Amino acid sequence: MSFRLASPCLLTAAALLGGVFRAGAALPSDLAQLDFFEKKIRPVLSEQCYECHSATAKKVKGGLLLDTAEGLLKGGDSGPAIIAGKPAKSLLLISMKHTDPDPDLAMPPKKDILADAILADFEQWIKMGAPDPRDGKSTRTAAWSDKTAKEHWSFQPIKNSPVPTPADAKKFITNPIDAFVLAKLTEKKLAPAAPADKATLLRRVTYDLTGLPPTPAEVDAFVADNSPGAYEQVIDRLLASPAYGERWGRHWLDVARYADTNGDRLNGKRQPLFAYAWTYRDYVINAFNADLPYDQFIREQVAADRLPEAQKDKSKLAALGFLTVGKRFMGVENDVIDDRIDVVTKGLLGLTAACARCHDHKFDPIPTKDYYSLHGIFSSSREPEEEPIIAPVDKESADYKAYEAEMAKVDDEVENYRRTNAARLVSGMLDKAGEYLLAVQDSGNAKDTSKRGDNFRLMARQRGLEAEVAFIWMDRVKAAQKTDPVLGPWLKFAEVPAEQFADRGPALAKEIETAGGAQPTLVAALAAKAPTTLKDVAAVYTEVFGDLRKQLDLPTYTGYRGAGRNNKFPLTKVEVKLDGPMESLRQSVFGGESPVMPDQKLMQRALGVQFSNPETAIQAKSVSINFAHPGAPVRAMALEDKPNPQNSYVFVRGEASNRGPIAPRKFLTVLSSGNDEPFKDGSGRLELAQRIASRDNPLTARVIVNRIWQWHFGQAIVRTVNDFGTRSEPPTHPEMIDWMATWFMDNGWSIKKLHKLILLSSTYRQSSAPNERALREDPTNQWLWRMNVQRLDFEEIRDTLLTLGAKLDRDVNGRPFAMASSTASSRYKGMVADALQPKTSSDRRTVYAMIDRNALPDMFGTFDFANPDMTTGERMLTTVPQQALFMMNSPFVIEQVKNLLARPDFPKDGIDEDKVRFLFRTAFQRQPTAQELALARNFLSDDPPEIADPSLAPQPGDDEQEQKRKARALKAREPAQQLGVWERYTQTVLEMNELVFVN
Amino acid sequence: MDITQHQPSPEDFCVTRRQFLNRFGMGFGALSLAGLFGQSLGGSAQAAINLSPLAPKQPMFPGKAKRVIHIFSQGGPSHIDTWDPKPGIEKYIGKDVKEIGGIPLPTQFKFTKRGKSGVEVSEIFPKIGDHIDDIAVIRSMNTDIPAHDFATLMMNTGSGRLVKPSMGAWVLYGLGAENQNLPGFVALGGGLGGASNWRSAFLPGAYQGTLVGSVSGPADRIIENIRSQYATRNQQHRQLDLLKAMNDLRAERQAHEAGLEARIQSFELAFNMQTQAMDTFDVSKEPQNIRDMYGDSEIGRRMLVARRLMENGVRFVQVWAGGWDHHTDVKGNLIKQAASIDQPIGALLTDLKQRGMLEDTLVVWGGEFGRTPRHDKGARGEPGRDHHHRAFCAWMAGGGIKGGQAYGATDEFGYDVVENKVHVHDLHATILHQLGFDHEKLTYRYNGRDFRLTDVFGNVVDGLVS
Repeated sequence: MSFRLASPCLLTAAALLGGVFRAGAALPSDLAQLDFFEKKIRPVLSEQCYECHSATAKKVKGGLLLDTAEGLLKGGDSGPAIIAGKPAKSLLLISMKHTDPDPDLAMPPKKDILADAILADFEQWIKMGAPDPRDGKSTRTAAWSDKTAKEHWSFQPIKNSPVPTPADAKKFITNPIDAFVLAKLTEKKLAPAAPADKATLLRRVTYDLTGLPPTPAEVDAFVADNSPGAYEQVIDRLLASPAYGERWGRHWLDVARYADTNGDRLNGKRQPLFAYAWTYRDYVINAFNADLPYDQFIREQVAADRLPEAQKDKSKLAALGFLTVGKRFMGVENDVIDDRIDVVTKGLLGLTAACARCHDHKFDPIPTKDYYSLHGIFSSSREPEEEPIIAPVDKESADYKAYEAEMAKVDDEVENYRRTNAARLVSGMLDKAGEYLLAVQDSGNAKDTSKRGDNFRLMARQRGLEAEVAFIWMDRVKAAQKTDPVLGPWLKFAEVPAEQFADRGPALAKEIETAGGAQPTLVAALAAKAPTTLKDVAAVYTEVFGDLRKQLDLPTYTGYRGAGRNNKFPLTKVEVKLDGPMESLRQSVFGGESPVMPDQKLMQRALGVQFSNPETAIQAKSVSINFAHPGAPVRAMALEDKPNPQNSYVFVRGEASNRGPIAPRKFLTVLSSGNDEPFKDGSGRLELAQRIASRDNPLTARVIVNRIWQWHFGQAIVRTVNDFGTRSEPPTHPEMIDWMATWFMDNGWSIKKLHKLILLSSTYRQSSAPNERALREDPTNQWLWRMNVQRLDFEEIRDTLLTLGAKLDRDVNGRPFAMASSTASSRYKGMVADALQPKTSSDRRTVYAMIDRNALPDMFGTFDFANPDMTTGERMLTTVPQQALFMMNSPFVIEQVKNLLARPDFPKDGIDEDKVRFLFRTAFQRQPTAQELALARNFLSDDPPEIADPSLAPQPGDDEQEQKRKARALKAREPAQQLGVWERYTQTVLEMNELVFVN
Repeated sequence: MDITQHQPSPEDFCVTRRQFLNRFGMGFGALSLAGLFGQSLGGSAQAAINLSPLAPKQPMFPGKAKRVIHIFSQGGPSHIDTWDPKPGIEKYIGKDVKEIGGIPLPTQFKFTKRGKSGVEVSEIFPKIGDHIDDIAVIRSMNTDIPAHDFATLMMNTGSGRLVKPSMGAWVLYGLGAENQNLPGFVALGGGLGGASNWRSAFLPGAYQGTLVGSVSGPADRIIENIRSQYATRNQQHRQLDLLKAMNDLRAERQAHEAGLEARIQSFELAFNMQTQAMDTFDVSKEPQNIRDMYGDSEIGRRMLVARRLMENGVRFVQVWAGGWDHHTDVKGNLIKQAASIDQPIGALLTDLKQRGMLEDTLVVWGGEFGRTPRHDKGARGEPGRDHHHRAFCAWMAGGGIKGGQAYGATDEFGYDVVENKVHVHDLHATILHQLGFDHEKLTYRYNGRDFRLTDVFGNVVDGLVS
């Protein structure tokens, strides 16, 4: 079976080349043909022709390039090299055969004609239509082979750019960021906006750093505090809050494509749950809160297992979740490795190296060989058999004891399942012994093959036998000698021709009895039966074996399908000694060389996946217990180096079966000038981490500074945050990104210090108010003439609503909670979520919600949550009616509306205006305007009674019965949980744009 | 999201509410994006898509089909029992045939020539067979891996393992929705693989399919949050009036922030969606004779709902009609399974035709793969068939498809394709072509790559297209 590999990077080239490309390209489904090309054609072209006819040739001869399909078809100065389907008209073959009188058309030059077999291969290949998977333009013209690609700005060392000194009449510049921004604005004939008012600034910076709204008191205090350090104190307070790590950790989890499940389905063998992914999530949150230097953050995430720090502090091992929490692609190892290469290169370096899986990167200087250098690093790493425990376990705690008991239950269940099925299997073999023997005999007598092999299987099934058990009987019968005490007599009877059986059968039974040596019970029964057909003999075997089954107290055979797992049967009983001659039968059946042995191997063979799938499903329960049980030891999804690291081969076209040259484990060539040595230490993961987390790496600091900028401003300096390659957007402020990257590294790779630098700048503190002229000149605000208006994301909206309802559970870290979802999606909650009972409060921050790749509640998608399957650099912000439906109709929102009105500080005894003021202050940290108060008064006072149906309106003539009927009918039409007017008003306030947009 | 050098026009951001609605609103004219596919979108165009991602868009060229119903019979329907008769197999009965890895299991069903075209149809599909002259049977389908998970995702997303947007999401991205009051892409039923079959992956979340698990329950349980349990319609109307009035107090700001405007509009859309979605899913609004025609079953109701959705401007409906994994008793199981879809699909085709909708509605039927011509060696009981990916059948009708033909051919066993191979990618390319797209150019740039439904594969099957 050949796996077709998707190679999406080809797309752009395919689109560019259009028809030209497709003309010579093979149908991709004809893999056999492509194999032919790879095995027979490509090696010859490469060995014999590329020297003069490829992009790597010193001088291309005759204008002919043979290293692409296009080159072959287009041909050189003498015309097309091949005409698909027509070997006789193909110049390539003509010249290879030296049949043309023109000596220039004798190839390869100055060499003998190639072997006949090779010429025949080429002829056949051209006849096939010359299928050729080599896509694209000649690599000679590929962008990255061009020097300019290697000279691309982001591959150059980070420059410590001088800070510009633009004229600054308005005293805009508070730190160098402002100088860079103002210089650019001046150049573009734009001016910065005025500073935002203090209340706006506080709301902005509070959401920005914590993902939560400020309290009205915090706003009041800040507005009242005119001291020069007031703003900086706010920043320090927010950075010190645990909510900071929860917010910024979540940004990083987008990059790390974090999820709690592996994306596969529960199919009996695989448990889709990651029991310990959450320890990585907590590691990230805690790393941000502790301001772990970013270079160390990288080293730990890529190679914590190799760091001395982790020897002292095992909790560091959780960092490796960065590599391991990705999808598992149904166990396909090369896809798992690809996912890890992708998260490392895109996430940390802003490079789309995964494009080089099947061919050299189209645009960036990343050859396929580099990809397989990284591949070797990850294929030389493995997950340990058992995830390491990273926190102390209190074995005396009640939780731990309860956990142990739960796990023991699973073990018992597995044991019972095995025993029950073993017993059933034995029963079936005994109860139908004669029928199995007959089936074997019928097959053996058949002259043609129609009752052997597959037909034997089918025949056995049609007789109600287990085919694989029948094969076991067949093996036993074939191996048995006539001296065998149990099968010996059968063999003797089986030799008697059917037409003589009636005569000879009874005598043979006597003969066997007299001769002795055979099992006495069996012999006696045969003699008693005086068999006249082989069927009679079989019936005796069935009877005798059936008696044995009864004496052993095994259950009656009822088939294996749907065998009840809870039907306990202690298999040890089989080993109990029986009285009298039955004991010798038992021994011959269950002894060493007996025809049946109910061991695991036999059961696996006899029952196949029908046996093993339910078994592994039971075992998989332990994963759920480890995931959800509060007493389960805390472990890390760690990685370790294999004892014997290996280099990978290049997979030609991305196919593992197509070996190309060996790719030594090393760093990306384009980032290795001056040090391109292969890695030597174990898998090389530690060296990889060090090369990434290095001042010498031109990408690492730029990429993270750019990300952080984007998470503050809602737009990045290099807008393609995951792609700094040659196709990336050029930076809007190239000098500034370099200056910041340098400053960041000089300041110990401290992310919190970088936050402060950015937040204290005047650039960040600008108002977001629009400005007609600037909008016209720079509608997307790339030159930063104002602050961007930003919309809250999914987590912020949910956390805000919980905060306003005073319900937000601030418990940090820990196992995830299953987020309740309503109606449609609840019916389709993943099997995983069904298996889980929410063991922690669901009022916790959204970052702690279970992320199930297979069954993410619709709301996540509706609100543009990060795709958990791939590195997400930037979240979409779409506007769709389902978002409004969530605000209008979801039980969650209504619950928070009620919570808000039930808060102890809600002035429930006050006048309406007090209540409205409270709502506005709580939600928006401001007072309502006079107009808003008027709208509220109008809404609250003029709430007409609902008449769902005029025909149900009370009429003067209605009698009591009619009145009751109408009342009942009206009641039935009312919404099940109709809200009062205050609740509806409050809900409407929470629906306002002001709640979800931050100025 | 990706921004290019396209300089956005200032008008995109400096618009009044009225201008905004004219540009982006539903029913105010289509936002033409022809020419934008195949490259990343400029700032303003991307912004427009984000603000009104489902606005109707023009395809690249006029497509014969405007909408798609994909009836997905998950499990792997046996092709040689349904659409690919193999009388030649009879002579191998009882023989272990190496080429097919076992003894052949001939079909137990009669095939008869149907319609003017005389294409052979299995007796288990009498009512679908009535429409054979509108149907193009593809006998030469093939896919990569005979495993349900892989092949199901391959059929629905064009990739068996890697995370790709679903076919419906691509179509919605390309064409938008005709009716903003309904989800543009609906999955009815669902099955193995769950949401990954209708996900949007890296396309914006607005293009994800909306799952409707069962259409037999009360209409208000079908879409998440579609109905308020808390307020009457009038009360909601008053709330939205208040909301608009309060938001309008900041109109000055709104005029310059399209995002604010779009959110206001989304509440109006949501309000309308509540009633229209409920109505559309409520099959009791259909006359009795129509309901009888589809039959009183979940699948029948799904087909009827699918037609109602199509009629109301939904772009892509995927109807799940699974249960075709017949490892044992392929005969008995097929009789049951075929009966469950024959009348509903027959009714759907009749109904679409009588409403003049078949012309521009593409109906696609198929599973994720086929089944072996030999019996399943691992199964128990009455003989069944194992998974088979080298050859299987699908059919298409309406939407510019050349009906009354059997396209492609397999060998005498139905084991391998021998003529006009149609890979799943080719089927996808053809579906997009019918909708007016060059499948190589309907792309979306994500993390530096231009992705498409057909990856780097796929050819439009000209023989299927009229």
